[in-house]
Amino acid sequence: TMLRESWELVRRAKKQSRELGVLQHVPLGPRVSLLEKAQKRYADTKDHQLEANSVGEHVKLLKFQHGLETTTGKAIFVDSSVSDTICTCLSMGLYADAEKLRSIFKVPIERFYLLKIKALSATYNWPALEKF
Amino acid sequence: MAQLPNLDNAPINLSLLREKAQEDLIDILDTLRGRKVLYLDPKLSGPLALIAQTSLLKEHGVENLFHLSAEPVQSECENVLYLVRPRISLMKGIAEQIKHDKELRVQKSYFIYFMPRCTRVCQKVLEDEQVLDDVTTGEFPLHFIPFDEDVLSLELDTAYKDYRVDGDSSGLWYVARAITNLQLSFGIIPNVKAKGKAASQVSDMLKHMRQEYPGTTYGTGISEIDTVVLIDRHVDMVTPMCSQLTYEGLLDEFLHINNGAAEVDSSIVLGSAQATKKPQSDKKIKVPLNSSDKLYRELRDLNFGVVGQVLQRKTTTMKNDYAEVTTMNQSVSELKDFVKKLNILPEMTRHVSLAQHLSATYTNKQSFLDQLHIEQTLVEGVNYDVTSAHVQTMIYKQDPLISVLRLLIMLSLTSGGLKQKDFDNFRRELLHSYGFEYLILLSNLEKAGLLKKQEGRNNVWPHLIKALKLVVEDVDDANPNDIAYVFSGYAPLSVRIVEIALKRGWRSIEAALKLLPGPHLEWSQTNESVVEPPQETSGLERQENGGVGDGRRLLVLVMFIGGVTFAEISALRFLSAQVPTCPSRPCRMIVINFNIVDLGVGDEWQA
Repeated sequence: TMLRESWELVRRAKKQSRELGVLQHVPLGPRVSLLEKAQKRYADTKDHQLEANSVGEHVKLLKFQHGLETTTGKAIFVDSSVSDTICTCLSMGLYADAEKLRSIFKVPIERFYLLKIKALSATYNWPALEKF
Repeated sequence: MAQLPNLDNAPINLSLLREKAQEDLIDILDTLRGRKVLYLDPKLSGPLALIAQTSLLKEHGVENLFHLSAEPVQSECENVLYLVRPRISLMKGIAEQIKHDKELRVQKSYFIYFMPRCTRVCQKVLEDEQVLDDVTTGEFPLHFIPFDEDVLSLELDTAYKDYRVDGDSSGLWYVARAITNLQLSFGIIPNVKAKGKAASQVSDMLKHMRQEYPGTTYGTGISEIDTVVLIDRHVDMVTPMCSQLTYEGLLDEFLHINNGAAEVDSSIVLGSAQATKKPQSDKKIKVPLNSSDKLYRELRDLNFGVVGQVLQRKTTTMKNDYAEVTTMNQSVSELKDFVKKLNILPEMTRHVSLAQHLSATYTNKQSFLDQLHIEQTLVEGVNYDVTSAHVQTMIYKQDPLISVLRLLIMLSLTSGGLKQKDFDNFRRELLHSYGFEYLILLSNLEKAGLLKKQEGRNNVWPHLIKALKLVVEDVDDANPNDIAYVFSGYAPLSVRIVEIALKRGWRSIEAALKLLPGPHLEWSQTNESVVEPPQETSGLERQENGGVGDGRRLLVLVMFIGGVTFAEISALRFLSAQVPTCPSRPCRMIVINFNIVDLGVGDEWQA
């Protein structure tokens, strides 16, 4: 039941953000607090360390994405996956942010390079690809 | 609307089932006098189209037909009829509509018909929403929907997930009820075989249902069906994860067959000539795919590798016929024969284009061949490291989630679980690549036992391959001698145990069956009573004392609880044409199932 409840929280968090998503710069507060509650629930059980960690990572990602949206003024980050966020950063030339994401989420180097190739070739950034 | 499937060649009178369903539907429509608006559960429109055509609804006063949504009622009609599955979300939608009308002080009569029955939960929801007093409720007891002359379905598309993940076994009750109803029409089924937990539960329910009404007569006292084999889908989840290689299977994999038809871009079927004339015609057309199409009937179960050859052979014959006609003087009757042969032309064109589309767009692609190669390695149960590395790379590259999950599930099932390190790693990588929202999906798959970590126990898969001969070398896809032809070398586990059950009885593979989840049981019943303990002989040897008249074909029902794939249906059709143990009495099979598995892991697993 604990688990069920925490799923419900994750789902509610998602739903809430979807409803608010129409507005620009939604406050992340309520969504994050729901997720944190879910994380706690997971952490209380013995067998769900990965779930607890993942929800924790989700919070980190949301905050990071929110920051990106504020600095770039583009509402294209929130609710995309870690890989997609890195990809978007790379294709917009935000290399420092991509590197930051890589270290926060301990992205394996192989995946990071694949994303880089994808991002650079999608934006026809041949010089950067050459250098890489 | 497409034609209803032709059921004339069915081994039992399936038209009877359909006519009964039509009558019930008409009764429901006629209980409401005059014009009415019909709101349909979106999930029911496909199955209903196999029962009745829209014209029938019109004849019985249906003015407008809508899919049920939260929108207010858009009709002047005073009678509002809802035809729905007992789903909570739909009850809320209905309540919204009624409340909306109430606010506007519009007087209407509301009727809700549940298919196949009304549940207490639904009533409770209506009560909580304070609309229960405004509606009249009834039931539309339709269980089996005839898809084809040898396929029936219950079309309960979330029932398996409800059962495996949420522990909701109401789907099993529907199965037992449906089989009992079949017995009411076609006589007691003397032999029951079941494998897996859900199957044994259904088998228990069947006994109970008989005991509940002791005096009931079943059919005409003659058993038209000899054996029912109940298989819990959980017993074999490897097969639905494999890419289907039969013609019908591939059409389903790439174009998705729903309710006996596929929606295809018009440019594909109409051919390029017409497509260039109307460049903007990216409209979808519905192509019916069932036995009414004679050519399809011949092609659908073939391994796709040989479909091209068969089509080519047919075209060549036609061409030669044509050449003869143009060069020689023909009598009128010969010309008539020729023209008759031409009737098949539209079908020929259609399947040539479809086959061409499949091979050009999908099956000739390197990625598809790679996928097949990995699946083959997985099925053979060798080389954990290579396959897991491959899946890893697929996740990195963000390949379609569904393909990744199918392989990952296969890996987990054929290697006795993922290594602890990989188990965490894969899940983390999946969440990173595709988004954290898939956490729930992963938990559900874990709960259903599709993804798990290794726990000391031995891996049973290699034993199963050996005991049941699941990997068959050198199958000739063109002239197959084993069901393994449907997957070019892998004999689907699920069908293999059905085959053995019918040919030799399950006793011969007791050890292997014990390795598979859930109990297995065989028992018999007669018109008078349930016979226990189970008879020792298999169904085919035992039919002397069954009620089946001599010279009739022995009929076997195979019920997959949790869905079946087209490839498995093809393998069963192959079996029913074969059955060498009983030369005088070839058996026929009808496949019945919850629903036809779309891609193994559908959307319903998300919630």
